[in-house]
Amino acid sequence: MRFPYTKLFPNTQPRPYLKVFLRKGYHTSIEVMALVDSGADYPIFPMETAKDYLKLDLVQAPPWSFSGTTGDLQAAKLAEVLLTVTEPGGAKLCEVLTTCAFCDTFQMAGGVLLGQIGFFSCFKTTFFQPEQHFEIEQWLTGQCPTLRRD
Amino acid sequence: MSEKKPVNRETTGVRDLSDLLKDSPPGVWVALSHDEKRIVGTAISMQAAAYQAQLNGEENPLLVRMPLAGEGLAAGVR
Repeated sequence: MRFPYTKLFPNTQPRPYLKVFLRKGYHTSIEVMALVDSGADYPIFPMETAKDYLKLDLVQAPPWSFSGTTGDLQAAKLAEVLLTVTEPGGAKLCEVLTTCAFCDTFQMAGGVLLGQIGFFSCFKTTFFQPEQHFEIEQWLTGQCPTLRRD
Repeated sequence: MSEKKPVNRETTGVRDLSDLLKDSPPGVWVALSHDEKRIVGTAISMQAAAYQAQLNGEENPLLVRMPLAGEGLAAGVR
């Protein structure tokens, strides 16, 4: 599936964004803009997503620390959730089981991040930067168990 | 030596939301209508922005977080 790059802000370059939402059981998050970022280890979402939308209890969840370009450490909790990617036209493309990081102090221009484990492990991703689009295709085999394709 | 592959210059066009978002305050969550043509909510929290969207008749908004003033992006995180 091909997606155009998206220019979100006047002073930034077009970037590879997807529209995604998370699900855990009967609880579903709001749809959010997500940067496809090969430099991120895990998908990272604000803790608000886990607490207010997915109703996750992360007390016993595995901790994960990460840092961006400043080197400052940020604490997150990891949890297994379902990630749905939306097509440009708005229909659901597919839903995969993934591990996401949820962080209280995460603030990301655009919305959230999609990273190596949990996104690139699930989708073969090809960037066509000069043409300002990218393509994703679900891996047939890999680390990420596929639950369904709508 | 590898052969150079021809570049496919076909483009689908960049999706441009910058004009719609240009006057939104830094650091807030903005709720866009499902067709991405209108701003239907703006708030500090995701939930508050989504609630505003609901009040404006949009049940399935798309949330975008505005950058802080002068914020660029180099987003390698590990």
